[in-house]
Amino acid sequence: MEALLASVSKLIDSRQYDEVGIALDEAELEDPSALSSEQWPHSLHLLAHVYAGRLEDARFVYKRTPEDRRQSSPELAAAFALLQRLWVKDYQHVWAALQFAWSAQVAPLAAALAERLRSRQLSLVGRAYSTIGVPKLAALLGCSEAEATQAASGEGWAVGQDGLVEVKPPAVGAATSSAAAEQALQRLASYVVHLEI
Amino acid sequence: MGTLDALVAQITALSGEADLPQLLNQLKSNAQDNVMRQSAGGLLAAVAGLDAAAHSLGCLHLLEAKARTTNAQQGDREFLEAACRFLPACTPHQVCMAPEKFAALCRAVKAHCLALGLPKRGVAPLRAAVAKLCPSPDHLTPIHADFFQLCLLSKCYGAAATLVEADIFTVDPTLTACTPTDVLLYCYYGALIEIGRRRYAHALDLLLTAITAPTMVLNAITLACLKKFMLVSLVHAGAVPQLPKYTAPIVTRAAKNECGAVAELVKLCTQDKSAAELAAFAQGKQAEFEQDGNVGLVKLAIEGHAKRQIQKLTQTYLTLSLADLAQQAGLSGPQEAELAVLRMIDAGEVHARISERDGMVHFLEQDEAYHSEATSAALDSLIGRSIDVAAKLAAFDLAVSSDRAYLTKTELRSQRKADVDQSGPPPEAPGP
Repeated sequence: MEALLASVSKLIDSRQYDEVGIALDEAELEDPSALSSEQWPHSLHLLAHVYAGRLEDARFVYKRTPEDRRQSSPELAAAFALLQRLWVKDYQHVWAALQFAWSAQVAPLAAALAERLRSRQLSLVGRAYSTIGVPKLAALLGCSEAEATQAASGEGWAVGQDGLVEVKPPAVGAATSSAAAEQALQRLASYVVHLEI
Repeated sequence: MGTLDALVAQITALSGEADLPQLLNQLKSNAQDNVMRQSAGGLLAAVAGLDAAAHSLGCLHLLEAKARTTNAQQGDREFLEAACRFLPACTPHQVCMAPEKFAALCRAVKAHCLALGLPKRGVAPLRAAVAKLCPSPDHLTPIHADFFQLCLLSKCYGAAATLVEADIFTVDPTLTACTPTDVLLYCYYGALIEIGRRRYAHALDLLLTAITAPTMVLNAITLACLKKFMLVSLVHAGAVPQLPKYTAPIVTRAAKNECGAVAELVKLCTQDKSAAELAAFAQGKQAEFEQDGNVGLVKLAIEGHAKRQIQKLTQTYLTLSLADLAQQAGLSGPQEAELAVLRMIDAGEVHARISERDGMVHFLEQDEAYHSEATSAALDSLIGRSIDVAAKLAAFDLAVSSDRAYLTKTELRSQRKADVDQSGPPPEAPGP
């Protein structure tokens, strides 16, 4: 198992967090009793799937972990609580769940996860709100009101006098370049040929 | 009548490329079968002495004979370990010469995993076995169903991901020893895995394939698929679609008569009952749902009901205050309504903008600018896939049209029709 876990540590060190979940899954299949062992990084496994957006896989990692491992690891319980908040999309309490004294192995992943969540929330606010109050924005982004205002100005939203932020919808992508247009024409031609047959 | 050692010697001698057909004939013969059956105790030792990659065909027959002599109810750990070591290491070319034996071996592996209570042990070996037996990724094998079953029981849904997402186009019993039950089980277990991964659209596709399979009698698998189909449709779309015209009549009747509590739940959902009433109904039928293993799906269906109410509001109103929305959708207050709308916007189920200044929700038309790069890329990939499927369909059509059995049947039918026409009513007499 040490060899398998070593490759996972390498992935973490090189910040390829997306691959960690899959690597741990494969390692678990090689050694079926892996999840019952104390050395297995259960909370890392769970959070790796959460980071990659695969909440279902994270939930199944928890379901596969035997009861005694679940009881003996407060970090795993915290990770599962975070998963539960994300599963029901309880946007405000996610941040409280993220505030945990994660172990040294899990801490960089937790920090990266917080980053990712924050940018996703920001784009959600961009799609969903036309005006939003600064306190609510701060609650959704899990940061202080000053930081929330900064993030809003970073997106180009105007902060009004009454403490409300005018949210502008995200701009549509620019028109395609000429090379892409030529390729598109090529593809269209092949479709028409196919339809004629 | 030889001994096991003589058989092993033959296997090692005849495992070159040219000698494999001869080896296959030898191994299939009754004499060798008797030898293997009588020396059941020494079979595993013999297998251990051979090389799994070079002598795959021989090892396969020895292991399969061992499987037939072991007790699948109790589980044999040694056999399981030997088989699990063999499956990832065998040579595809050799094992494809005896597909029924390979499929039988994999089935035995699954049975022993279940008997010993170690479903996870078999997941990786069976996954490797599917790749060995499949001539191409779009062929179906009996091992698919066994593999999915082990993944479900060991909760390793992620391991099944690539296989369940692959499109299956070809079922070829001569190459893969598939039976109709294997096809139905593939659809059912595949759908269960997709439900666990919350990919309801694909689950519905798989279930519909199982339900619309041609059949003369109702079987348990189809019935289970029907019930799950109705519940997943409720969760995904809020209503159960009409079964297609090509469904077997007996299945359409079963959908109305045999599905009991599920059919009643579907009726209640379409009648616009409140979530509380649905929950009360579900509580009353708890025992029946538990027996079918559908309790989780029923709960999801009832939860989805409230979301439908909000979605219906988008069709009626352009702007709505949060308080009104809460009242119409049966939620407890404007804060809960705001959170519900935010969640639906996140999931892409509704297009709206919330304004905190005046506490209103503006429902928008789906004003996506379809001239973006992402849309044209998506469109291109869809068209590419349709062209591929059209090509496959044309090839399949050609294969069926030139199939001997089909031509004989159509010939007979057109001949019979011509006879009837000839001996039919005489032509009309010409008028005055």
